[in-house]
Amino acid sequence: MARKLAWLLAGVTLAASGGYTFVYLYRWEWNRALFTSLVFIAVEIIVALGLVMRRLARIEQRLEHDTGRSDGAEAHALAHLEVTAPTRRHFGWLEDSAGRMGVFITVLLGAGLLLSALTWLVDRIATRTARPTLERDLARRLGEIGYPTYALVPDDEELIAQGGPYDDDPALAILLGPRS
Amino acid sequence: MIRTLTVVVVAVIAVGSVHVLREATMTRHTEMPPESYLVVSGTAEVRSASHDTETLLLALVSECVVEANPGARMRGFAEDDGAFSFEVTPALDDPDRRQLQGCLEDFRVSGLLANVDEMDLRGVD
Repeated sequence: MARKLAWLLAGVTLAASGGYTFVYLYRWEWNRALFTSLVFIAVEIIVALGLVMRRLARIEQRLEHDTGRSDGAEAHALAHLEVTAPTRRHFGWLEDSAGRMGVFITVLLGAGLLLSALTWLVDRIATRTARPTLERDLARRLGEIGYPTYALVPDDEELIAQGGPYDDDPALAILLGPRS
Repeated sequence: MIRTLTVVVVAVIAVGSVHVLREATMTRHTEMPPESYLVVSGTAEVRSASHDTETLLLALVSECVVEANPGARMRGFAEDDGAFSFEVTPALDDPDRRQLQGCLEDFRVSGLLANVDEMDLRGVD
């Protein structure tokens, strides 16, 4: 009731101040017109502020209502999920297949036999194809690091020839190799 | 259809109202005879007893006559116990008279409130 009375008073004040502003302007009473227009603007600001606050209050009320409703729906859904959740049986498949162990073992053995045969075959093929190549490559690499087939030190004849009267002969130097 | 008709009616009323207001408030000056004059009489109140009513009134009347019509001249000012009268020559036309009355009754001078009782045109046919 008080709120309606305040809105009514604001409306009457707005209408009166606005109307009298024009009346005073018509009468050339500038100071009175200024005063009434000031009252009009002040009441207008108050009314606008009241409208904004009322709208904000409605929005806030609606938000609170929606929040409460969503909380209730969430609790209801959670309770429903808890009631209707399926019972989990970890390793249940093991329990179910316990009576069919014979078939499982047979399949396991058969698969092992097949895998063994396959690996034997691969081993045979690899042995036939890879060994000669590997051995040749190994022989080449060993040959590179092996001892040379010639002597590492000059023999007595070479030493005598280098120390003889023909030591300045280039042809003989080529034939005998570098001096030791 | 009804909505369009309503819009048209509201627009016609708005335009008509603006036109009527314009005709009612538009200033239209008329030439007054040079020998004509206007007799103004009224009453005045002062807020404080220490204020001289005649001085305040004379200042207010002089300012308002100049504001209403700078070409007019004020004469015969008299004040007696709050009642005042003066003449303006040449006489003021209707818009200037309204402006003079508004100026006199407005809050121009601090502590002085005047009220115009009568404006009598003399020398005008």
